[in-house]
Amino acid sequence: MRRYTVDVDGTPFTIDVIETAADRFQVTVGDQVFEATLHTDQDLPGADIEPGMAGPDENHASPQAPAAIPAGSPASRPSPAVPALPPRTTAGTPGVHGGAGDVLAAPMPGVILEVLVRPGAVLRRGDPVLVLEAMKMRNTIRAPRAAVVVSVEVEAGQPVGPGDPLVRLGAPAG
Amino acid sequence: MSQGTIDQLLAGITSVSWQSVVMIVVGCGLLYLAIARGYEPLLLVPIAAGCILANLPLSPMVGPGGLLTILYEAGIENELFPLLIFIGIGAMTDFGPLLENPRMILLGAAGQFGIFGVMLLALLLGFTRPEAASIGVIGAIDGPTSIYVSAQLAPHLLGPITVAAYSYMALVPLIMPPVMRFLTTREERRIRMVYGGRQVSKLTRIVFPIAVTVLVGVLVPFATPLVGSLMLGNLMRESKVVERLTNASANEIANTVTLFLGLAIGSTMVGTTFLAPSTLAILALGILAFALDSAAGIMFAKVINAFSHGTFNPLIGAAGISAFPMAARVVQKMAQEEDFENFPLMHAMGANAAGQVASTVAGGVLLALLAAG
Repeated sequence: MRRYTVDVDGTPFTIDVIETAADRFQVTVGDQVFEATLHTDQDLPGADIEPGMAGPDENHASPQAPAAIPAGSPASRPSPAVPALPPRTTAGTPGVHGGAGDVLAAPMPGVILEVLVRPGAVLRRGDPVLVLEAMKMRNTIRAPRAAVVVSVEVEAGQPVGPGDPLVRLGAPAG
Repeated sequence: MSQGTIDQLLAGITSVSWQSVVMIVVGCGLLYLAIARGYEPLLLVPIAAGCILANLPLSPMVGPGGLLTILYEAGIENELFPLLIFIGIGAMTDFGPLLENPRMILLGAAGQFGIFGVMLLALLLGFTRPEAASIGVIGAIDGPTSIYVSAQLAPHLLGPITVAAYSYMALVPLIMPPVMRFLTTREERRIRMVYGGRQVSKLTRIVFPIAVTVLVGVLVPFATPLVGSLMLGNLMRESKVVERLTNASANEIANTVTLFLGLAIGSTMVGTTFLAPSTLAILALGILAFALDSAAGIMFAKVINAFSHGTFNPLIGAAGISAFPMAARVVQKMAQEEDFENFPLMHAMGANAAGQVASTVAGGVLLALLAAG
């Protein structure tokens, strides 16, 4: 994850960018989460990039990550209006949210049929984590990235709504 | 013993015709599909039984006083059974995903294209107008609608049309994926759809069936029986004050009627009329209608995708048919094969519920077209 602290017209913003796939990013602005997909990535002539930002660079060496947010994505043009948006914009997306622990959230309403992991389990991207029954259909929820299970927030038989936390994930060991 | 007595005793054997033998084999084939392969067993077992019973030589079950004929006259000829089934479907269907995302109604409408496309094709192939309309209605992928429309327009084709409609409903997971894969790019299939879980108020859920009934009833009076029954069941479900009626409609009544309906439909599969070249044509046109539905739905979803800046997964368009909820599940399954973090299921359910409503309207439009002509 990379964290950017920017000032737009004097309003401070903290923007966290997590790379969930090669061309997909989870962008957190304040307490809002956006999904961003990278279409093109180019340096425009005359656009001086001043790397004068002060912020914790969480031992991540990829400098393209900031430019990766496409121009159309809401996160790339944070304005004072952005925080006024309802905070549930993409709360239903399964994914890793920044903040107090990374959360795998329920993508849709349903009932947890099976919990396939325990706290401490080491997951690779794509490993099955839970089975969620929605509209009488079994859906396997898989790990969005390599991670360690910190805690399991649900149990089999429990109904969940979209965006409810299912599993908290931590950074993979090593 | 006189020759007459012997003839009478052996009448069963001497009356066996090749057509009845073939139809009994067809009935056994349907039983195999239902029991061994699990294809729509609730429908195919009674249909197959009706088919076998009606084709036994000199079967006393058909004709005046015969059980199958009584059932046919009681519920198919006068349209009663399909409408009772629709009350049950309404009582079982959750229109929530559609109400959360009303633009899905467009996909439900697009998913009926096959009906009209195939109707035109059937006309070109030499079927009469009522026959062509009845064949087209297979494209509703909806058993009761098909029965309702063809029983009025072309009762002599009821057997093959019903068998086609129900078989293709069972074949949704086989027929849809090739069409979906052919018409979409990998990038389109990978478009992620976030489900926000917008809450639909109880008032909206109650007003919806009433409003749809009144609106459709005024616009397409011929669709009133179908839409009215469907929405009556849904109103009972959403009002939550008549749970006993809702449960009876969704379970006991629907199950009883399914048995009666299946037997009566099976009895229309009599060898002399069923074993005709037109049956093969109907089966072929039916599958074409289905494929056209899926294709039209996908193409229309692509238009929506273009208007929503590439955030709408075109696969969802394929769910705009009546086969609820199988079509939506097929969409979810294919989207997951491409990207395991993608869950368009609820959106597809919305399109699917829209398809359910739209197919009943389309049935009414067909009847109106034919009545006007």
